[in-house]
Amino acid sequence: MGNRVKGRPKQKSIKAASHSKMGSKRKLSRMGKKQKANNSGLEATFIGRSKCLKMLQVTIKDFRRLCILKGIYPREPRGRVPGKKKGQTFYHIKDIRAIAHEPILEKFREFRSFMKKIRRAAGRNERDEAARKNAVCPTYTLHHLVRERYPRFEDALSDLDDALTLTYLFAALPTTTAIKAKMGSKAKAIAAAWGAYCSTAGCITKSFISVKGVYLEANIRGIPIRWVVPHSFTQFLPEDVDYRVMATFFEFYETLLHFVLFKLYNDLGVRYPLPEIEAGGEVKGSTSFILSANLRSLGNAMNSSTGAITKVVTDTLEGDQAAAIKGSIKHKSKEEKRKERELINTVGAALDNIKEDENGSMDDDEDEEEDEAEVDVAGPLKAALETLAEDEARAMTRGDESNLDDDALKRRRLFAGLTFFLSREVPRGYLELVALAYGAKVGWEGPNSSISANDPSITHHIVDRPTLLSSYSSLPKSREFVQPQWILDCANFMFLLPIAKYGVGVLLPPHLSPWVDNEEEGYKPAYAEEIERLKNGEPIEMIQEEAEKSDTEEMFGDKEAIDDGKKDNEKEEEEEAEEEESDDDNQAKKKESAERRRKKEEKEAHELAKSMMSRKAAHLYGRMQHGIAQKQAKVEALSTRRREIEHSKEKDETGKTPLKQKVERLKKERKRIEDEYSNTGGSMKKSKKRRA
Amino acid sequence: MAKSKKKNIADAASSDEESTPPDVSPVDESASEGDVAEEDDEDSQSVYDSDVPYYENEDGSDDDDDGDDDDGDDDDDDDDDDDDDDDFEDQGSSDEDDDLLEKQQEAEESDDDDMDLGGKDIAKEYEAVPRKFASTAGKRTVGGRAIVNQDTDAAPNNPETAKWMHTDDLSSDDEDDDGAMNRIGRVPLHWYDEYDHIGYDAHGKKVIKSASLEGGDRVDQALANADNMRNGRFVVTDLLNDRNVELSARQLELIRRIQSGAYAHPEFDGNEDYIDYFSGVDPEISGINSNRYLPKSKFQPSKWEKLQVEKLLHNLEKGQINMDFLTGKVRDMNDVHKKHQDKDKPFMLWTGGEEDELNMKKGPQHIAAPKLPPPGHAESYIPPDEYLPTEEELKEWEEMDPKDRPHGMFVPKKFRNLRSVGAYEHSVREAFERCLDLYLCPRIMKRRLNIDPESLVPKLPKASDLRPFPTAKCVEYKTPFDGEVAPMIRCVSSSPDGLFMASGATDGYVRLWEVSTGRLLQSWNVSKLSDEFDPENKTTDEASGEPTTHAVVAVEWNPNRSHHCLLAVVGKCAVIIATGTEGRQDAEITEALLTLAKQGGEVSSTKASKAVQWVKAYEKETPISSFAAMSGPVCVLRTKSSMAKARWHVKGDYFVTVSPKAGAAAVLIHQLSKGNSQQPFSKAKGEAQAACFHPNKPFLFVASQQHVRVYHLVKQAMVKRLISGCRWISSLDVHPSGDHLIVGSLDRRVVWFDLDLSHTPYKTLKYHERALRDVAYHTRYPLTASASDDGAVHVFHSMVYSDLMRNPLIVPVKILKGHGLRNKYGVLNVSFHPTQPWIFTAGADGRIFLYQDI
Repeated sequence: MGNRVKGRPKQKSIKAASHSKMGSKRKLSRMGKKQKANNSGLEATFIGRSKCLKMLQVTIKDFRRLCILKGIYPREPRGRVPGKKKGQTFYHIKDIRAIAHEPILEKFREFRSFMKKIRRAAGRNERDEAARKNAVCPTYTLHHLVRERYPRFEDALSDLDDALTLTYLFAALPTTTAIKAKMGSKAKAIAAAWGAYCSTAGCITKSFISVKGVYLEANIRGIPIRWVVPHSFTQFLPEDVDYRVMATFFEFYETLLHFVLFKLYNDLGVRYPLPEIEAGGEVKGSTSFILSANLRSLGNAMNSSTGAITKVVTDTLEGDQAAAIKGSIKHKSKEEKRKERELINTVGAALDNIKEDENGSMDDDEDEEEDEAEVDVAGPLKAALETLAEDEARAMTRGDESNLDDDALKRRRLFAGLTFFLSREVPRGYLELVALAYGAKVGWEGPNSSISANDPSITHHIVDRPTLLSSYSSLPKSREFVQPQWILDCANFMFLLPIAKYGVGVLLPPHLSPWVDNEEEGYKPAYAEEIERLKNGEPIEMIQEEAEKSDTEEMFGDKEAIDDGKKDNEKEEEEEAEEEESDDDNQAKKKESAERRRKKEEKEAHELAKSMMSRKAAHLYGRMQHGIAQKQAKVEALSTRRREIEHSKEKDETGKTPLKQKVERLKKERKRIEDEYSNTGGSMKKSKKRRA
Repeated sequence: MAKSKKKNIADAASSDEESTPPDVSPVDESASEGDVAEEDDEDSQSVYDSDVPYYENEDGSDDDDDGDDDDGDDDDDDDDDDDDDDDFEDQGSSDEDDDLLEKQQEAEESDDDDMDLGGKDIAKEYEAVPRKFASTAGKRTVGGRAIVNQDTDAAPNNPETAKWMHTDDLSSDDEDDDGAMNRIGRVPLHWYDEYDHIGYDAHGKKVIKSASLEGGDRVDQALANADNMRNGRFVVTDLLNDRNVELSARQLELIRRIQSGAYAHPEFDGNEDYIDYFSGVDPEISGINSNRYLPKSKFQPSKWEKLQVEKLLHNLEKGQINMDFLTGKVRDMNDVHKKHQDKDKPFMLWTGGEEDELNMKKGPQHIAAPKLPPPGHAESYIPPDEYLPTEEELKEWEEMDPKDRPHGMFVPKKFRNLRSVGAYEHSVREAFERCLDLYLCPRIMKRRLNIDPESLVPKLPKASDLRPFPTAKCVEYKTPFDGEVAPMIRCVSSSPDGLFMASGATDGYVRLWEVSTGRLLQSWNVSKLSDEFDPENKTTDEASGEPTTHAVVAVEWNPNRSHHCLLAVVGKCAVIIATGTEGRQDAEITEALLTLAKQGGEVSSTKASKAVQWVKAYEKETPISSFAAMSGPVCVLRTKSSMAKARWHVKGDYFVTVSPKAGAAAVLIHQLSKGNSQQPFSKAKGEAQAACFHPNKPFLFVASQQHVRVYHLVKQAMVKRLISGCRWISSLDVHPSGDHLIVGSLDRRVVWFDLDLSHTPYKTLKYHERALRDVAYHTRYPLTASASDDGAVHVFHSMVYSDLMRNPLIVPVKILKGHGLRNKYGVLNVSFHPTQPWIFTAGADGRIFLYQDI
């Protein structure tokens, strides 16, 4: 079988060859060969669940576990299912065959017999025997399944959503009989390692506090990965949930995440699991504690592993240095090498000096720019030194950025130079993660914080209290007190929002989901509009005024549109006539009407074209239109509701909303103009006059 | 064993020392007494006399009586001893050895013959004593002393001893040449106690007991023994043969050697060199018997063992093994490792080159589970207010199944700040359900059409390129009416010259209009007329008492330009009306055409005459044109059933009327010039809805509710049956070329037939929202129109090519929406202007419009 040349058509059976040579398309079966039963169709491709169990000789419990671990799922047959098989669960027969060859299946069987032995020993009250046997409990590994299910690393990344969500959930769950403490600690460790990676690599793109938990999205290698971090409170454990199923899923996800993290850390040049974490056994304690421990050690590992200083110098030496050095490098004698090393060492010393000089002035991009300006003046070595200095500074402030992509760098710049201090009541885990990913420095109230509460470098103090503590008055005045939502909103809009709306005890503006594409949805919440205008640089007061105006205009526009719909060609003709008559109408109006006519024509042409659609296309088109209409209806409902809310909110003394007042005012104005015009003998609306 | 034996010997020595007579060693007094004493009977018995078949007790007496009892015991002992003493036996008695000994003996005999030992006749005597007896005798003489006084160790080395020992050729001492010795075998001698003989010799003769033995005096014997001992003779009694035998020195020496455990023969070498007689293996090489020094390594501690220990130590230090393993508590360290090891220690699983692997992968296509949708604004902890559900919505949601609710189990809620947000109560359940979905939900790959809906809409040529077609409403023909509502206009028809237009309305009037100005020229109440000529038809409205008016359902102007008459269908009648619009030339022709009709016609066919009657109804009226001879209704064709449609032949002489309910007479063909009628069908095939003549061939198209049948009028046969696919055909028109047919139906379809192509539709269009009332072709321009109850008239550009290979091009160009609806009726009839791209529309709202191309 193995001698088939690639690219050549597959050899058929001898029988097939005889007639395929003749170029006949006739099937062999028609020539009298009877098609065997169950050789094609549903029977040949799919297999019911009970049949699976019989075939594999496993219990339903083991079968389910295998399905979960191997990622096998039932499939819906494409064709028609015979009546008596309707409602049956079908598995692909090849999937099941794959299970049959699975080494884990053997392990399960081994384990079953092992358990029999243990049980027997225990039943005979032979404790020693049981303990001895327990030592040789059969175990299995799952990494081959990871490789099998995700042949490429990208595949694994794109399927991480559920894995991470479940892991974070397990990290938050209390220990019960079904949920072992070990699982919890493992989940915590993985979650912390993942979080540390995401914030260090700066790949967190979106974050959102929902009622369900905190949604985070990371973009790794262009693949978005979204997961939920439950709020750090005791989770409610429903009784009718089968935790074993979840535990089995977690069993696989744990392996998957370990390998994914290994690869990711490896790409950073760091060993996974982090040696300190592994050795120190720092997997006890709260999630945020583990996370910060991970972050710390990952940062250390990054700094040491890249060996930033020497690397850059050697690079510069090799790249930018004069040809003399270059030539010498080519045939390095040992002595020369030693010299070079010395040179590097001296450079390191010089660097230390520079560091001292620049201490404290590395918060802004401006500095970097200045540095860059100096580069041209200095020689190549100095350039190297300065890039080094920058690197050093960057490494100091926000870790190594050499392996960040452009987007990540952009994100890093958002909070660059800012220092957040998280108050005790603020959930540290995800906030720290997001803040670090966007380039801020983070300190917190509690142990292991690198920044103390009264550090003058703190720019934002994150507080979630109704009023400020009296003890805060002693803190330096240079900081702003904001609520935690500010961090996420800033990160999502990629814009440092004014803190006025996020002050302590202030009613917060709505927190918007970064995943909603307002354009696609067709509805833009007011706050999103406001922020967009803010980004464009319009002052806030003006904005509100304009918003109202635009609303009223919209309303008028709507009305006119409706009118247009109601009246038909007649009115249009009249309007045209009116246009002709009214000499003083400016050209803009003409243009407008021309535009309107053109649009109308287009609409009519579209209508006509629709009448020529085939039945199938028309059906499809209709369904699509229905979907669009539904979406539109939703949007409409939202906007009407918003309008209602606004109206009910802003009623003045007379009981009229400002909007209504505005409408009235505009109406009055129009009437005044009309009256003025009628005094001259003409009429603005001829048709009305004529009818009257 | 050997140890215990020695001990036994020692014990025996200590215990039996006194009992042993000190004077046992007659030959050499100097022989150490202890040495001799050691060798008491018991020892010798247990150690050496393996092949001693029979012996007496240690007391030395010949108590034959109790010898029996001891026999069994002795045998047992023998067996035990056999195992240990095999070596002696083999070495002592093997044939090879015998041969060897003989050889040696011969050699030595030849060397020196002289023997200077005490007894010269030793050899002789030795020969005389049978071996067995000798041994037995040895026993009997209570550990017979070795005669030779050399110690056992030195014995083989002593050449003297060896010399006389070698005198014997070791031939059996049992030999008796004459066969006179007792041959009873090993039977107890006491069997012969009663007899005077003690057995039989080889010849079967009795061996007679000697007198001394029989009644012998023991004392004498003892004395004789003592004498013998003193004389240096060692005499033993042969009980078997009943004689005394004197042991020779050689025999004594043998006994002594045997007792001391040495080889019996002094010169026998137990460790003699191996001589391989048959193969040529060099003993040096084979190493079996080489007497070389052992290598040094044999005496040194094992290096391998040292290595093993080192290895174990190393492993122990490294933790690869533990003391449990060393002490054997754990058999396999793998088990221990497995237990302590982290299950899946991560490593680099993806190393690149997976793409190729992916191509190799077999098995069914993987269908990835759909991801959970991202959270929307509503799921925020502070959603915008418009996302919060109102109370009604909340109530509604509660009644719903959680699956149908817009956000599942989640209900949008607003919190004031982050600290007030608690844990989400459904988070575990949602995660669990997701897990269930992942492994229990059947998956199927469904291709979602992700296309722009507008791409489904076909691209049409621009309407402006397809001009002319009617675009704008230009003239309205206002029907005068009494009462509140204008009568519905059922039909319109334009004169072939395009100057006049006739319309029929539900008030029973046929009106004649001037096209260009919209002026009403004439109006005839044909309903009244039909009632007059058809009294049976006349009904009265019960409410008002006035006669009910029949609507004019069809008006058809004669298509011939010189025939100035029109056909109006009202109730059961068709009325031929002279329009009076003719010019000078046409006046006569028209008059000639209508002459017979004026007279009431004459239906020749009897069948037709039953169905239709021509009734003259001519009244002199003022014609519009001064040239015209007449104007107004000329003739009424009365039928039995209400008429629905009427159509002229293109030439303007024949016309066809359709009365759907009339059965076989549903379709009637009339000839105006002859005033004649025909009934082409004798049998109804479905309910005829409309009929039409082919413009240039003798074909008649008759539409039943679902089919259109094409009849050849000359051959009087059906040519074709067109399957429309409609439920209820309402109207029918034939393209001026005669090759195309358009059908409108009440189920909103417009069906285009290409008669050359197929009996199935070339195109079925369904664009009207309500039932179609009329379809029409323009006679000159490539235009088609359809009128429907939705109040719209669709105008199509419908180019028909003379090239048979090209399909007709149908492009919608204009929707005319001038008419309103009344009683769910919209536009009831359309008619193209014969020469211009204009169209007349008759609406149920009582208005008639002329649309022109502007």
